Amino acid sequence: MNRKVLSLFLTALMAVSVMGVAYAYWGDFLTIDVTADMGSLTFGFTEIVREWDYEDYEWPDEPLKHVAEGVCELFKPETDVHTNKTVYKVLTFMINGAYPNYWAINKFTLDNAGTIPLCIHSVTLMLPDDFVAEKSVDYPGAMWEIYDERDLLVFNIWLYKEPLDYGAGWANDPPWMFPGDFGDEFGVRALVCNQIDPCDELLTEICVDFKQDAEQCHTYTFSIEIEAIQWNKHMEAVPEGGE
Amino acid sequence: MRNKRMVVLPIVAILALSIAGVAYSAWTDKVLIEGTVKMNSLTIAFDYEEPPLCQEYYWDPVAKDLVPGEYKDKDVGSCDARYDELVVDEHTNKQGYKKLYITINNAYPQYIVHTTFIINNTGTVPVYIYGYAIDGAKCDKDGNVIHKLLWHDPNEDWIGGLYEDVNDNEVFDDEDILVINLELVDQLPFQIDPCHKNKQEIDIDFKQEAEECHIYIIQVEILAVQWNKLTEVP
Repeated sequence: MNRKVLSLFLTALMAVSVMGVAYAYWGDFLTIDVTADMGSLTFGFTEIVREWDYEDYEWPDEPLKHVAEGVCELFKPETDVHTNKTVYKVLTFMINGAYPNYWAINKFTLDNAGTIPLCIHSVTLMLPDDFVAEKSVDYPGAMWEIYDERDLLVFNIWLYKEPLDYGAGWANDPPWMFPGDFGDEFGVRALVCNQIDPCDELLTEICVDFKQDAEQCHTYTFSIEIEAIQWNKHMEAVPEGGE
Repeated sequence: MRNKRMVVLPIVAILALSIAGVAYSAWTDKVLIEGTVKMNSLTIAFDYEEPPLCQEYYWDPVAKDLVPGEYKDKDVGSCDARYDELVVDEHTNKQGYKKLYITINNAYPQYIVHTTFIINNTGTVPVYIYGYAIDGAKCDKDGNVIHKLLWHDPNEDWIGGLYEDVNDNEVFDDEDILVINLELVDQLPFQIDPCHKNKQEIDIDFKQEAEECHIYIIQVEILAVQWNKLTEVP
């Protein structure tokens, strides 16, 4: 019995010794410290470049009047934490005293205040209940026709969403290409699919023009949401139809 | 076997979601354009505060001029002018009237009536007054319409006449009989800005064919267009 106990003890000691030899070695460690300094994606409105309207023109045989006015203002400032640049998230376009045939244009800039290139991939028009927007047949990608609850065309909204080829001819030009001191056909870029690099800006404009069936003393409202996405994900995010 | 499936399915789901998450993850940002449009109003009306005025005249052969009243101070004919159809501008809440009626009783050839009235722009858009819609009626003593009166202005200079529509076809033609000469004294078109008024005049004189013992009623409405669309008026 004593032998058995002794041999077991020895066997266990041997086994432990063998294991100890097998695992004993000198070791050393390396550490990789990873620091990811993330970029930022911030875009918004920065500047109202120019406001003008139908009444800013002196039409032949018609006296100059100031009846209506379209005014843009910027609200909701947001400062990019990375670049410390401030942009505005909301642009209000207030038109007072409109009438049929009146139109107002506002030219503004959209800036990339972040550090990542971005692409505008959707422009969405939102209207109150009972109003319907239809894409223009003559100016697809640039104009919505707005119909009221009577199913009558009351006004058009022009926003240069997609690049268009209008060809030559004054009559076929959209409002922003009117000749003269106020018209500036250069520099305005389409929104959708356009890339804005950090520190860069995109100049564009919005126009509202009123039709015969717009009702007197009424207030019309609309909202347009412009969404941008980091440039390398643009193609994955563009909805069918480009909007 | 059932337990194995229960373990595998969540793992597959997690893997699928992870892959999808990688595919769709992207930073986005949004901005908003908020548009608000407040429309103006176009309302042109006869003045609410100051009523129209009628004045009789006669041709004085001695003075060789028009003189107020009736010849030799007689009181034979009578004229009355009034506005009707109240209209209120939604925007400004200002009131006015859409129609002017001139009623002439017991008139006779060469009976002359001079009517003044005021046009008021009660809306918020400048307007051009480019004309008037004029018509009327010849009535008997009880006020029953005998014939309509049709306006005819051959030179389109607002110097014309009111003709009895004797064939009742409501269109001016050669059969109709001239009973009243009518002239809009002021030049047309003219512009009125919001909150502005303009006094206008109509001269009327009766012709030989005007019938005795009848009442003549003339109705006038204003034709106006927003100031920047005058060229499009037919």
